[in-house]
Amino acid sequence: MQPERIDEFEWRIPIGTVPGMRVPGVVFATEELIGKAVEDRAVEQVANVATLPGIVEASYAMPDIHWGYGFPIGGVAATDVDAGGVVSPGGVGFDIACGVRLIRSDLDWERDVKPRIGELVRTLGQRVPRGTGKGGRLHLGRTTMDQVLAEGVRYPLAVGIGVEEDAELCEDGGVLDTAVPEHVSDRAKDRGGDQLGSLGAGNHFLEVQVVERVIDPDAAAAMGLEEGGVCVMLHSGSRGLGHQICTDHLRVVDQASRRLGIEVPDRQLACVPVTDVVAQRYLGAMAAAANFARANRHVLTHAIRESFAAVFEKAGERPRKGSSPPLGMSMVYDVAHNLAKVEEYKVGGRVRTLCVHRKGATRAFGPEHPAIPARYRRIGQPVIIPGSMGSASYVLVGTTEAARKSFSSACHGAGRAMSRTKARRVMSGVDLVKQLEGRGIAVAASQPKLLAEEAPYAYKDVSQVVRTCEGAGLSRTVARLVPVGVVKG
Amino acid sequence: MAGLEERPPFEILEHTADIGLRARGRTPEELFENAAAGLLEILGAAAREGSTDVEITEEADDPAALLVHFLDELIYLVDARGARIAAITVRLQAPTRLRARVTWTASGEPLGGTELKAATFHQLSLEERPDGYVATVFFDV
Repeated sequence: MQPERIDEFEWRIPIGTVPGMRVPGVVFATEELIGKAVEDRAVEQVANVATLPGIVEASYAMPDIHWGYGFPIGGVAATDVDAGGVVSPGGVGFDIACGVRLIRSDLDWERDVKPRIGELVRTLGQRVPRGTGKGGRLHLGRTTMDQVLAEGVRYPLAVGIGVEEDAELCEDGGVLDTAVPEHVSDRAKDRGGDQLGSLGAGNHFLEVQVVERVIDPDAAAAMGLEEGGVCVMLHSGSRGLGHQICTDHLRVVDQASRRLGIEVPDRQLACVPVTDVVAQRYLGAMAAAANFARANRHVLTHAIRESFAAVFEKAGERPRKGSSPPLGMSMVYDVAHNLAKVEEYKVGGRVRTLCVHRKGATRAFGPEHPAIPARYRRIGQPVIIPGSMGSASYVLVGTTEAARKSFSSACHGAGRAMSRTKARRVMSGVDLVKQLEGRGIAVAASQPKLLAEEAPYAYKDVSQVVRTCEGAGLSRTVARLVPVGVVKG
Repeated sequence: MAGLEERPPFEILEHTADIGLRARGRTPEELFENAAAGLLEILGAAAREGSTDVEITEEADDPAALLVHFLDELIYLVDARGARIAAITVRLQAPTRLRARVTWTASGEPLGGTELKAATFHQLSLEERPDGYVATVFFDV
């Protein structure tokens, strides 16, 4: 399947490429990136998504597209809620509201952190729960779990974790009020009960990073980023709770979808109209998982700040105001890349209510959008793009143009290019640690054996992905960050 | 009841981001048991001995979905309870109805393998062939 070239950064898959397509497919990519997407058959998945009932404009894919299960990773699909548009739990994925958070600091790399990076990464490794299995920072009973599911970051804030400003700098203010904890099964609550404030395994990580280059000084200043400054980037999701919610609801949606006679080319695309009771239950549970994911990153942020304070703050040395985090460690932003949201866009000359699925794609609202924090209203919503472990990461902002081009969506990372098994064959985890350390990057990994699965060579070039988003008009680049410390699950 | 490590065949499949499994069995029961063994190998969640028995009952619209639900049930046990599984016996009461006995022990240690979020319906298949049953299922990592 070879897409048609529209311009340097846009490719089209015409209606009819697979039976039942209702709209074309559009992939934002360079020639090199589209080649990879064709090769791993992710382009075929873009075409499959175009068959979803009620889909409008196009089935989109971001430049970091790769083969997923059902939806491609990097896929964006918007359906018209009032015209039978569907929601597909597979279009959100099992790690509901997995996302990225960036925390800045007043610390300078050369002056403050470089001499103590080893100690810092060890401390983070000890204080931040990670890896497979149990053991988050907070254990939740049934009542407190329901509070987290309903209140998101408001719950940890109410018990004295974090600072008020953290909520404001989180997508949705850290809480989706559409959450319905009753639609979350006891099993999902069991699975997540011990996991609030834990990083998880797989591609989840936290990195200590240095702002290497500021590309947009005005936007960088609004975010408190300057060259040489030290930041922490955190990538984690809704843990076992979110996985079980997807599992539970997918099962019901799969049955309902067939009962309603909805035909999809891949069973993982099972879907039901947004207005159906089955969809409403899923969306209520999905929002609860999103609240859990934000609360999880919020609690992890606290562990990160504690670790920094333990290493860099001596008693009485740096007096701190009660309402501000230690060492100037304010949040820059927190944004998810696996979520379905009801948003309004102008389609075909009128404003419509759409259910926008972003599966491995980041919401990227442009300047003046009312849903973004006041301090960013002028520059656009921050979009945080983690590179592969040990490579560069980026901070972008959304554009006004993206609303028209991709339902305000941009990329979410580098995108995998190699299977995990293959990645492990290239190099052992131990050798990879040596290589990273040789480049001056301190590493704490709980499963060194599996570390090579996440090696930089297993991913696409994040810089090319980011350049493509900018070239296609989906986002603007603000700053480039490089890692100096990696903490892996 | 034989230990899982003695059981025959499954293959672990490559997928750009995730991991798949192809399992075979002379009977549907053996197919389900072999798929479970493959899953435990990926997770690194097999144990030599178990101390607790749990019975799983599952029902689905079709045999392939039944396999997904069964594997999801095992992922739940491992993730929520820290289960390390010593033996699994599957009995199919109908092609879409299953009863399985799982012998396991709880562990507070990290998994020996790759954490999985769930079994997916992506490219899911379960077929009867002249020499037995074959199923393919992909997991989200």
